[in-house]
Amino acid sequence: METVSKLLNGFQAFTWQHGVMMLIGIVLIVLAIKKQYEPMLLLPMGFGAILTNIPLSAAVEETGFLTVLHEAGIANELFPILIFIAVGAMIDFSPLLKQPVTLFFGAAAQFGIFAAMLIAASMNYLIPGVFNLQEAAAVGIIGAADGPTSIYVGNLFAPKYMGAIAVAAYSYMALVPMIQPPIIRALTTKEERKIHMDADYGIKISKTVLIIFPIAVTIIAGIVAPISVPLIGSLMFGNLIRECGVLDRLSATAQNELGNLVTLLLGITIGSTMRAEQFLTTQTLMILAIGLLAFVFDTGFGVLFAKFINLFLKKKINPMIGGCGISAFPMSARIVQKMAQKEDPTNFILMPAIGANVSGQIGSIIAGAIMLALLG
Amino acid sequence: MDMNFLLSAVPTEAGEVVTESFKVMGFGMGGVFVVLLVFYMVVKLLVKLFPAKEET
Repeated sequence: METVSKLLNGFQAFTWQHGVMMLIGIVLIVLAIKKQYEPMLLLPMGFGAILTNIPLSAAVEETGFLTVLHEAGIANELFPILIFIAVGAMIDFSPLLKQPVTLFFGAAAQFGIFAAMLIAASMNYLIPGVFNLQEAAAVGIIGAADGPTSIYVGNLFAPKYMGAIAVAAYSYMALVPMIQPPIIRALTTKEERKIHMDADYGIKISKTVLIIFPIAVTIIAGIVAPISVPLIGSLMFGNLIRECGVLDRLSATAQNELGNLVTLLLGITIGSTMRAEQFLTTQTLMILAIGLLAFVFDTGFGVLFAKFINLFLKKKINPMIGGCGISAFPMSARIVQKMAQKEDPTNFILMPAIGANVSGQIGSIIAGAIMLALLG
Repeated sequence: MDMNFLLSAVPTEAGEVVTESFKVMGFGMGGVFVVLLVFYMVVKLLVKLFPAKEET
């Protein structure tokens, strides 16, 4: 009887909340497989959510493998750092270096981070004490549109909301093709969307510049915000491996094996933080809603900034480029290119769009670093 | 400069949190633009100092 009773422990401990969370995990898996929304992250996250919400799951006990992975890679921020090495090895900064003015679009499009933070802070008027300043900042960082940055900042400022923040960040990154176009169309005219831009600007970037750039950025950003050194340093280290020309094997490993392995472990570990008691709360719904607004404000402010710049320029820039200043690389650039060609099939603005998109990668890390420096 | 003045006491009152958020927004966006302006100048300088034609 005692043996039978032991076999029923799991059933007895099962609650409706566990069921809901398992369903959410399954939804993430379905979105990953059927809709192909960021499958590399959403599928492991979905499965991790299922594993952690099985009652009495040994995977999340003190010595469970998900607990070990959490301590080894999330609690100490190691996984996001390693992912950034891989990301850095994949990025080509040439479009940015050819037209460095696109850096400012990368700056403008970080507005959504702070707008979302403000909105989260304002929720305290509705529900007193719902988010303190650091937690509001953790919610706001969803607007970085950058998984590792969101996880890095979120884990430091609001570890209990890590699951919701990660789900929001990666889901909305996958939904950028649906989120951005209506906002860009609403803020631009047909004539503005038809503006042509030079693909190449006739500028070539030397190998020396490509090598010095990541080193210079690391030193400058590190001195301004020392707390950002892990983030910016790992991104630029990956990029240096790529650009130096003598470490092709390491570059290939960083882009492929390292990136894939850490993504796999990161996904399932983040999923394991989606426990029912922490996820099924009013705060989670707020985080998901505010996260979406963060992306909206990112896109809108970036486009409006580009239109503002155009007031002072004789040769106008296509204001859709401003919307590419978010860190969703290279999806945002491809979306803007598609929108431009829809208006005029001869319009190729992909290179300037990629320049802005890459600037957004840098801008989001700097924004996260400044937030860490101010509130950490 | 003591950048931790905002965290001297983590505010929980709604008004305080919103006020501090506005400050973070101002410093944050300003800081992002300033840092990227520095990067802009660095890139301009690098491209000028190390033109591609020297490598051909």
